[in-house]
Amino acid sequence: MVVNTTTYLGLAKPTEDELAKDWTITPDHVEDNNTIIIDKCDVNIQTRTPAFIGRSGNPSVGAGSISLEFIDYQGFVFGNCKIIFTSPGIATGTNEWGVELPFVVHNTYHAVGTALNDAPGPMHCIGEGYYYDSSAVATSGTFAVDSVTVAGVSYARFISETFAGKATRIIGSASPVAIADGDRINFGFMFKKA
Amino acid sequence: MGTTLTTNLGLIIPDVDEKIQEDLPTYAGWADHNADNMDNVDRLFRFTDTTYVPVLTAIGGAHTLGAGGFITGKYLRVMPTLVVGHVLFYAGGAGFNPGAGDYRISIPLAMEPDIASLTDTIPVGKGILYDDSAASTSSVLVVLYHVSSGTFVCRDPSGGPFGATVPITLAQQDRFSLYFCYPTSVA
Repeated sequence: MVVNTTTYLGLAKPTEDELAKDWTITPDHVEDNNTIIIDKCDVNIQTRTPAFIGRSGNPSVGAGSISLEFIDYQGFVFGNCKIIFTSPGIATGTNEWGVELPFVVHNTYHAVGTALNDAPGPMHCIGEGYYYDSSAVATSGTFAVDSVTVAGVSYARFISETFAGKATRIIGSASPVAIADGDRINFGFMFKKA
Repeated sequence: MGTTLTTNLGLIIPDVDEKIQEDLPTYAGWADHNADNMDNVDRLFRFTDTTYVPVLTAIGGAHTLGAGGFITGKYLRVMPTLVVGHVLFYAGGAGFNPGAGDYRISIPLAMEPDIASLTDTIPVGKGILYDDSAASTSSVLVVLYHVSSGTFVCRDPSGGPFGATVPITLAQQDRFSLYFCYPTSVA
């Protein structure tokens, strides 16, 4: 019966005429509106273990860990991820790395790549992070995050800052160094989901 | 009869004597109160996205985009005081001229006044700089809000102000991609 709703959340705004026809539905409208507000606005932090891939061979954190947490607020997703490499079993993988994001990135609002080795620059920057090389300060540093979607899954990529001996634009199996025990990667992200 | 309002959103809180089903000549009924309240809640919790055209200014002399070059911007409004935005810049091909001096980029909505009253520069985001000529000089940028000009400026990892010739002399096919996040009080 209700024909008027708010623009963004769709909250019910019954008119006098509508209520006059059935005043008893008022509590239903109130309950429905409260449910909408709670569902859309009172969101919780979620956690997951994302996939961690390499373009030509997947890396491994060994006995370490990879953990991601995020909030989905009406389709706006923001979160962070922590990767800890611990021996034994660490593997560098092959070529550029990607970390699975919790949702597919909206590829109309965002400019999104289609391959892990796409040249960075055309894609939206969606976050930033820090690469900790436990062996050396010179190859530790910050990075920016962009995203690519491959086979229906969106991945965060790490675009490195300038450092001595830098050979590739995208962090991966050999850049900035071969990953080793005690190394860490931490990054945050925010994007509109598809 | 008057109505009590909530502190922050001004939502109507009618008391027992004021809960009127139908409009009276001098007092609105529940339908009107509910409509006003729901509109206020709706405006507060909205999430929207919009495009904008960033203006890039080279403070020492204007740049020229080359063939196919562009600068585009988009931003999200969350709740809706949080602005999260993205800028893409492509230098283009033939005819590109980087101009001279530091680069400043316009912002989509006015910064929250309390932030805008601070001094110097405030970090608000991150960027990717793509040097088409070499991987070794491609880098990342920190995006800052420049209080005195009301624009975004960037700095590279060495601390230099990003512009026509810092950290690289921008040339054809070069690109940068920025994201930023800051509060606004624009309605």
